[in-house]
Amino acid sequence: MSDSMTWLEFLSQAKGFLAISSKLNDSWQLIEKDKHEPNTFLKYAQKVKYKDELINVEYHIVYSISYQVPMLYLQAHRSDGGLLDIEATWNLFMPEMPRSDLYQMLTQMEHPVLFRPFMTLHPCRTCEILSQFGKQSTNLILTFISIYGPYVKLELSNSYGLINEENEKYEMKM
Amino acid sequence: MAHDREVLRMIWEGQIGICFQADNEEIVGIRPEPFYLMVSRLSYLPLVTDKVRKYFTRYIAAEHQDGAAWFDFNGTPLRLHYPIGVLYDLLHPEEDGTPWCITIHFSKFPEETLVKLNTKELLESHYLACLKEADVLKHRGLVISAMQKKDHNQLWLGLINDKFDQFWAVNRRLMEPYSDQESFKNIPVRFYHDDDFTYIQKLISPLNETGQKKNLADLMAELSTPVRKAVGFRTHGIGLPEETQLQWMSEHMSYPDNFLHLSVEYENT
Repeated sequence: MSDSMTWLEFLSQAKGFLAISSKLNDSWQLIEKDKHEPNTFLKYAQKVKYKDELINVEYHIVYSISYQVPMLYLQAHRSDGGLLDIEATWNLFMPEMPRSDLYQMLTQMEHPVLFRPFMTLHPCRTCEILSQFGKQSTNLILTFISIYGPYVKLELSNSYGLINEENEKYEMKM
Repeated sequence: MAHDREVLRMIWEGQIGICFQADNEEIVGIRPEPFYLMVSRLSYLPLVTDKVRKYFTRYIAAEHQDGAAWFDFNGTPLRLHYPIGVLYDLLHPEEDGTPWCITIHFSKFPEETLVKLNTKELLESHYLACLKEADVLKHRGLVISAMQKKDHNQLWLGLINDKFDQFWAVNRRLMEPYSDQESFKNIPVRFYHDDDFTYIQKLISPLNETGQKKNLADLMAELSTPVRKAVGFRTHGIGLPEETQLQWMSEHMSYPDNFLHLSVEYENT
């Protein structure tokens, strides 16, 4: 099992993931800026309740050329359109974690496709973690979102895993 | 290994003269004189502007004084996380030799355009993320992860205090090929074309298929497409000879974030 993925593997698995999402009537989208590496990414948006406010969160799964793994980027806006800064994002998702971990976990960086500020979870150990979880035939993007998503209130329904397994069984019979 | 010390020195000592102006709308009362400063090309705006901020604070409305400072050149907000030399070269102010006039703002931070690195702590975390990414490209991340926190601190302090020896004592380890290799796995490089601050990143090996070291002419061929041809590269304000080897460039001409930042000149074919 390889611990990283090429751009073409990312693209094909992103499309596989998107197919499961549409089967489940979930609202993931594949955004293509142009045909170049890494300018296609998966996007999902939801509202997250924080105290008395609804926060609009947009999640992007983007391919990292350097790390050769998927990376999770997100942007959170208040209902008045204001962008949450790094402290506010931390309070929204990880208020129970020690504050000293903030800079080890979350960084505001430029989105590698859109070149706008997004928060990102550090990718350092993604390869390692994916290789521990991923089975040969499993969709690595699905695995990636299932592992990293819960840190930022991005939870996939269990049906994703079930449909993915069904697809695999079907492919094996073919 | 990065052994051409004179080159490293020259790159380190590159400076730009900047003329900082106030934002007229933030000024209360008398309009302040501009503030002139020579800054290192390798540094970042938030690291060199403590004095500038202090100077202008006296002239601006109290409610803006604690705001996150940012800068613009002719209406273009300047990325706080790009080395100053990269910003300057991308925006190519027409007359070299005269100070670069930019405006400092204390209010209305452009949240949707600029990564908000208004404290040294945030900039340091961003800088370390860049170093790690570069080391993943060069050595699969093995060198940086074997370093200790104090080494990371030494790099950062060397950079912010403009201490060449302190910085290079650690950086040389990042600039050596790993164990018995003769070159890096890939060259950390960002290619800029327009002045809109977008760049292209690719996996660029320092060696060709036969194991020979690639030079800039090879890189031009690699970046060219049927419709446009790469014809030249610039960095640190200088044009680069096409026989320059990529491995040598990476070791000697990278910015402190360990990336080469190259402006590419294209010609339509």
